[in-house]
Amino acid sequence: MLIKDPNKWSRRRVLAGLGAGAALSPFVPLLPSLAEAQTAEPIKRYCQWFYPLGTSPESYFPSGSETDWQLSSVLEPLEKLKGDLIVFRGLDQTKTVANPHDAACVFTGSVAALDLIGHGPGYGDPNIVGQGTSVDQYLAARWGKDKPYSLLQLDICNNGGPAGSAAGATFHTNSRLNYQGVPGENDPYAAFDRLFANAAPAPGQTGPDPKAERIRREKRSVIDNVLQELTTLQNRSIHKGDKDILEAHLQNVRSLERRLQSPGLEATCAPPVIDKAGKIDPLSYANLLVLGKLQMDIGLAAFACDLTRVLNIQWMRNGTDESLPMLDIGNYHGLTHSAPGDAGMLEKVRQASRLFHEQLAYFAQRLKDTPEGDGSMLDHTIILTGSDVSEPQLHSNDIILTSCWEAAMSSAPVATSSTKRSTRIACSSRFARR
Amino acid sequence: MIVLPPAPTECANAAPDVGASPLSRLTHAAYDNTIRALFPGIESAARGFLADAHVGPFPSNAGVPVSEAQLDKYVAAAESIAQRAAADPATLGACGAQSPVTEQCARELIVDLGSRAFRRPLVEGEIASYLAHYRVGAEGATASDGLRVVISGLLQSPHFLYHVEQVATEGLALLDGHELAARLSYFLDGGPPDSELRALAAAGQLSEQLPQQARRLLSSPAARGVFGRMLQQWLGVDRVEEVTKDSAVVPEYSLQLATAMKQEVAGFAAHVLFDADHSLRTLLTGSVSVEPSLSALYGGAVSATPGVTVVEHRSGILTLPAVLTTYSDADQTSPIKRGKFVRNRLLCQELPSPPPDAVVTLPKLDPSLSTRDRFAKHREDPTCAGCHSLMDPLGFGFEAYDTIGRYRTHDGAFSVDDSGELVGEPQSVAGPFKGVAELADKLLESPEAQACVARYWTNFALSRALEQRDSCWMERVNATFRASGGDLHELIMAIVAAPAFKHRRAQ
Repeated sequence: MLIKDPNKWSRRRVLAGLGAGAALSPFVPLLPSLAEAQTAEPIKRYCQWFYPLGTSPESYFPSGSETDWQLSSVLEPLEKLKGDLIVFRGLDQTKTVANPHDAACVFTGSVAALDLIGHGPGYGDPNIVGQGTSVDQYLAARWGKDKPYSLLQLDICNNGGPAGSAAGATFHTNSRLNYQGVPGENDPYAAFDRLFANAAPAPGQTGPDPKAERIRREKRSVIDNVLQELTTLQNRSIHKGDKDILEAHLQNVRSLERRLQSPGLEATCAPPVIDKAGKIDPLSYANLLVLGKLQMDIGLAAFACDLTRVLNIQWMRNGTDESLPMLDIGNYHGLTHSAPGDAGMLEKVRQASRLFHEQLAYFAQRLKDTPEGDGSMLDHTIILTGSDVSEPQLHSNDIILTSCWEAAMSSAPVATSSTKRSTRIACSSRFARR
Repeated sequence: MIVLPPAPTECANAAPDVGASPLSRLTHAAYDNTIRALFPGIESAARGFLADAHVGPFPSNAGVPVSEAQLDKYVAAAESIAQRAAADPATLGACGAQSPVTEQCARELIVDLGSRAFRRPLVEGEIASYLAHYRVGAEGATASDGLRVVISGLLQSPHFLYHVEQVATEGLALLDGHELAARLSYFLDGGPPDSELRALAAAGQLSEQLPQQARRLLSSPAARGVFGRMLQQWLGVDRVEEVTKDSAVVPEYSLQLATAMKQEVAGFAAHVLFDADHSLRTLLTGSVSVEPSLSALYGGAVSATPGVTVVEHRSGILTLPAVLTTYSDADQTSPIKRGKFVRNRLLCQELPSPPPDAVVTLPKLDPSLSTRDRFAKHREDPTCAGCHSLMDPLGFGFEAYDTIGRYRTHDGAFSVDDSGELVGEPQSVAGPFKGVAELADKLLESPEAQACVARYWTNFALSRALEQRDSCWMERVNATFRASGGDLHELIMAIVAAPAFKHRRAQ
């Protein structure tokens, strides 16, 4: 049983009342997480972390023995978090289709397949999809289901795949389409507005806000009617596929309803600071690191405010043609197609994957610096990282690059039943064992 | 490979059948067009929405559940549009002029706006529900607040967000007039039915007047835009603006140029379909440009004033700079990508990806070799040759056009050799050819290419995947298209007349 510290609450309220943010840029790391104050349940969070085009394996894997090991160049930024880190090796990916960029497999634990609806026999270009639900989507329906947002998907410069779809590492099982990539939010300003626009109470506001009450009444009226319309449609539908689509819609409207019924949650949490006046292009690669920081801060705040338990951070996309101007890489995907053993190319790939792990270090360290219960937020969070290929020059995609943070959990209910070949991802089986 | 056409006897004896139409949410383009039709002046309402799913190369949300994040976007858009609309007397018509708005007026607005938002008349119970919204909003506030909640509610309704086609029976069911009007309108106009279609649907006369109405919509300005975008998607050049080139090799390339290329594709489509003879032949062989800003790329051949200019050495969609630029590498042409483009988009053939252990390395730009010689490894290495013989020789036929689609007689120090070969399927037209014009002739002679065009266009029209149950009526569409001599208007008319257009199978 966790003991609530009343001081935390009053301090939070004060900060919120002061408009917190600006003075506490960019986020309030030393405030204890709100989640543990609200519930006696063990907190379990999951963050899925994708970065494109793999790494240079020689520079990635640690050296030494199981207990006495040294981090490699790529993972070096995580030195301070070494005790929380697990690096997996030898997770071979068996393929049924030979498309090299299988972001679809990484987190679904499945063998990639051709997308028979979007692109498939008779349609020309095949698209690649995962044959199952990715871990984030699976957990959204479990750990996330009672939270205001069951899952938060924050993308950074993900410009979409062929024809704009299936460009991610997050997949949803659907009875009709089978497997559908679920797009995330590239725009941190939009993500911020969605989560925090109404967070700060009006200056001087103490009692109930009549305007807010009115808006709530209006929303209530609309939500009730939409729920009724969906239910009627669902009852009249003959086919299960249609019923399922309407059911997904119903669930999402209920999540809106939940948010409407839990006023005041936002008032006790400190949103990140977003400079809307200096808004930058959310799809410009030159802005990659700034955008990434914004998205990470939003994700961290969403965790700390307990708006969500499941987070998906996706850097760019699989098979990306995008540039990394900060490393003087014009076309990252093109670069990785250089001649075998090209030392210059491998060095660039090492730099790029190290860059993504520097971002990871920031994100994880912030979790570690935020107290929660007897420890930190990181103690209640699993971060699972992966990429669409392992060694990019060969475009091989054995999943050798998955790293995990140990999470202090008594029983992690990650079942493997929804993934067809889950044993291929050792992380999944590891969770299941715990 | 493409689903083989059924034997004629198989179809003659079979009961008419069509594939399933899963419940489909508006695409973002359809959302934009619907909002614009309801509230003139509100543009790009779907900006910032999360990506549509696709059927083939075309955006479609058929059978795709909405995500929690996208639902939030719908809600935010509905509230913001309602805010604007309820403050604008123009969109509120007679209601807006009255002050205060009476409940009778609100009712009239619900009946009118509701029926256009839902693409069918509202039933009495629905009118009552939306009147309840009005009361919630207006209570203790203004009538405009009441109407704001009504509009917000309409735009969050599944009847607005989905193409709802109620089917009460298992198997095939005939669409009602309003559902048919919506299918026709979203296909040819990109937006909801206009007043003429609504009136015909209400009078139960649309089914018999379907051909006339299809032709009417086809001649409207909106159809030019619809098929312009459709062609960009079909050819896979809708993202040409994201293509990067090596500035050391092609310093002339810029975002502006790519944008002009993309516009040209839409302009060319509109030209062929609506100003010229709307034939597949002109689509594959027409040698005109409609884009003044591409004159430098065409060597000054394009008139600087808007209009149609005849350009030399061009062969319709096959040589559009947007196509040639998309299917090239950053610093050189790509016979592989160009060959694959023809196989995928014009022959509906699917090629396997390289094997997992293939070294997918592009040949270095070596000035001492021609492009043809740089790609020679594919012919020599037996693990590559199997598939690359289907692509590279086909792509060599495009060698007279550089990485941004300029006509050229020299590839570096070498004279261009644009002799190509179509290897393997389709057998009927396999064999060597010289240059893109001769390839176009081969494609025009090929029933497979014609069937592939019909397949893509049908995909676009129905916005759903085609399945085996669609093969018999598709075969009749192909036959009509063939008999018309490859008339693309007749292809569209055949699709609209097909049983799949008028029927829905829920499962």
